[in-house]
Amino acid sequence: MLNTILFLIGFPFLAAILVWLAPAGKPRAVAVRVSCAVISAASVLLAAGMLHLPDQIFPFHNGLVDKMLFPAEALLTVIIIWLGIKYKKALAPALAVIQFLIMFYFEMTCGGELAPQYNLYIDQFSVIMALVIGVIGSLICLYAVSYMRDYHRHYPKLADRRGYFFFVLFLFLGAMFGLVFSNNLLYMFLFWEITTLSSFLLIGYTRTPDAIKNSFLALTMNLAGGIAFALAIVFLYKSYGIIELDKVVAAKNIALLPVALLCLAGVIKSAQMPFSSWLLGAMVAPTPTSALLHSSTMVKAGVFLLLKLAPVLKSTVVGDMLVLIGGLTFLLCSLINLSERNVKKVLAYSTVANLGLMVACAGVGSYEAVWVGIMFIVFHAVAKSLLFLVVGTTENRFYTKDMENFDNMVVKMPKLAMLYVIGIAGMFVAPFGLVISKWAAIEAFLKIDSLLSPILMLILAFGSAATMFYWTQLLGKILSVREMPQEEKQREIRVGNDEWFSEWAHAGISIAVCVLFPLISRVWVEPYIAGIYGHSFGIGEGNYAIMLIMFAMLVIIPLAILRYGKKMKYSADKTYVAGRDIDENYAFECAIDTRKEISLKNYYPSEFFSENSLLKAGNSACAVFILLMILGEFTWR
Amino acid sequence: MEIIWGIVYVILAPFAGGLLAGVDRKLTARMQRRVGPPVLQPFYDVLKLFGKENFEVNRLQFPFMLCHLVFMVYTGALFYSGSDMLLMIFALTVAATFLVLAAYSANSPYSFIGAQRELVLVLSAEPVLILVAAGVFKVTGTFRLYEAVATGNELIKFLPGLFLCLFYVFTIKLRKSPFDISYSHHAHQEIVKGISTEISGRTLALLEISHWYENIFLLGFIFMFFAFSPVLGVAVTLLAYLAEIVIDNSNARLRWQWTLVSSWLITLIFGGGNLVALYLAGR
Repeated sequence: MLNTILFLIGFPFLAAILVWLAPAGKPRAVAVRVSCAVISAASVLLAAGMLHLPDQIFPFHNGLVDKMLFPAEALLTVIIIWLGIKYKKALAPALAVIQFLIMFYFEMTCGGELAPQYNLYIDQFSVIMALVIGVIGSLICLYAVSYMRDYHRHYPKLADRRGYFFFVLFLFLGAMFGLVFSNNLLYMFLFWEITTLSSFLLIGYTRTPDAIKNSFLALTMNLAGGIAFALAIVFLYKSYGIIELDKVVAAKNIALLPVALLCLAGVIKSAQMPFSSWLLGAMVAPTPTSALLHSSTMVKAGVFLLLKLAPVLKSTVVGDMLVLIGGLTFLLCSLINLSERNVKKVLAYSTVANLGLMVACAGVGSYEAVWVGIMFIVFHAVAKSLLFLVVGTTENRFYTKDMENFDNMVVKMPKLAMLYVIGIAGMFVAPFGLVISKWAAIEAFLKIDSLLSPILMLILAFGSAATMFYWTQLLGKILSVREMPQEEKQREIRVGNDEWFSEWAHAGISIAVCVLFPLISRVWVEPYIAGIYGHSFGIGEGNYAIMLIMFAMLVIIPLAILRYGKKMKYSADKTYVAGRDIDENYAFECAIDTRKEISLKNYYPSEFFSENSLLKAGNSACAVFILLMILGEFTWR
Repeated sequence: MEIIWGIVYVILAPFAGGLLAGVDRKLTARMQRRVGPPVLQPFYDVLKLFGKENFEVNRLQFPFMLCHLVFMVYTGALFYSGSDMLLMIFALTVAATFLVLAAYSANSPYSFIGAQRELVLVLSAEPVLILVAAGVFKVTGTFRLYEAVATGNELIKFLPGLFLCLFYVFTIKLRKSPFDISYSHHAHQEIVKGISTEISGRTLALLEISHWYENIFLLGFIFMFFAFSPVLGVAVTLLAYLAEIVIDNSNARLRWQWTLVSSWLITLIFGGGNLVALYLAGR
């Protein structure tokens, strides 16, 4: 088992170097494909191997690794300082230096005496994370092969640094694996910082002014989170002699301040208000970056840490503040999406909103809530990744992100439209993933014994109504039908095979996790929760039967879409424009004999839900909650 | 045993719903000093629609409408067989989604506006439904309808605020004025027939039937609050429907902005207030 874990952490780093050095074109494509296959196979094998095994912790005392830890952190600092000088940014290097000084102080005062018992561990939660990272993450890397080819074809002026791009992608995966298997907080911190750096490099890939600005925004915020993490480590060791994650979770009567600091790091990483701007800014990067950041890596690292800490957070002021931050972020980001027409931004706000629910679950800290949080990670990763990939494919054909240009996608790209349907169904249609999580979340929230319970219920009720609104708008645009000439229907031909493979695999997985979720729950999630809380949570068999029936009924839609273009009795008639239509369709006679094209635009109720004012309100409210969370130590006792 | 009530609903609801629609039209006519159509007229209409030549605007609309009907029937069946209320609400949302998609797929101006407004209506009504389920859980400790009723708690006493919200949203769900913004039973609406403008023949018949199923399901929802005393329950339910007819005939259509803002405010104040009060009362 330990060997598989070490392989999963180490191999992506090797693969990163390999794909960087591989000659451009075919050899690199092959290298990426093989590495992806190896990583996903290894993570599936790991999961299979852990099926009937209990949680395990490993001493793993390796002198070389321990010696390399601090220099590695120093190297990260140097890289950041160098990039800061190169792009004339002061704040990020300053934060990096502060962080380094904290770690330097720690190394000097305590470095010699550190004696962690167990450096690595594996439990069912990290198995699930490994599956998400290994399978979804490598499918995204695979997708990038043909996506980046088309991307550079469309932007010939951009420097083609694809080798470097894939290098960072694999680096990211390696760091994520390290993160979910590290029990030693110092290990975890190093991997945490590597994910910060790799996301920064990926966002800034194109080196356009926008990309540079937003990449530094992400870096600055996440470095601030890193400082909180570092302070937490110092505090924990100096006061309690704790340097391992399992000891933090098991500790009784531990001070709230270090826990709050760790939570702050998690909140920043999972892009909660008031820190959501870094993830939204990350939209400037090529699509595989967004897919990776939003689904299987980065933001999930934050939620992972928070859910790990959940048992400590239950009924504390820190937990309560997390609930408020997450809940408010969910509600406001869902409402903002009502007036958002840039599809990538819709996806981004929806990510932030869903992460908000996961954060709230961690803050609640009951066993039901943790169950919801973990299932949420799985469902969200698959569906959101799929949606980003299909939006990327669309972008490479139509060069647009505006929802208003997604009309008639089902006619222009029927296969892609079906992928959209599966992805969007995963986001809000029962009985697909996110609805299952939301359903269980309602039950978990109702069982809270504080005023938070009615507040969260209101938040969920309004938030999910909004969710339904904007997803249906997008779905409706995609599924609107209009006859068009044959050449318009040829757009799909040039989509690369890597892209198709990755997207259909995603679609298959999202259907599989929806049908098989009781299995996922029973095999991985419930044992994990039972291990911590002593009892567990699951969805009853009767309800599962109801959901299977719904699922069977839903099969009608994709079949209908597949049949589109085949023989079926219907007669396309002119649409009704009060009898004033001219030339077949889609134009009508306006005043004084003028001809007007019909164009249909969605409602965007921005007078009620304007992005700016909602963001402002949410950011200031959540900033207050963060402050209370940090000061919780002094208000609670 | 419970499942039998679900089956009874599936079989009988269209007859009851059609009859209800017939009585509704008759009463409405009388309020407007007209004679009105025969009570069985809705059935004649639907039978006639099935006999019409197929004239669909595209290949997707019919499957969408079929899904809409199937999910509406399923929602009601889940309700009357006493299943999990949250699942039932999710099924209802799926049904609404399909109706909107059927309108979108036509790619026509009037049905497009109808679809947009229908979405606004769902946005207005959905929070109340979830909160009612939450309230029932808070009072009885279960989402399963029959178990909740069997606890003997008099829901109306604990959830008066939520009942008020539900009644407000009832008008939206029944597509009555002042909230019949997406689709009206009268063809002289400013957006023609709104969501059903491009729907004809058997597809329109499916829409009518699904509407019957929906109404009977909604009546059950009202009844639920008074289920502890069936006689009182039936009386209140019928009274509520009668009140809706009066409201329908005495109100002008509102703008969608008003629909959204008013229903959200009412939900927030009375629904939210009800839940907070439940918490303070230690439920």
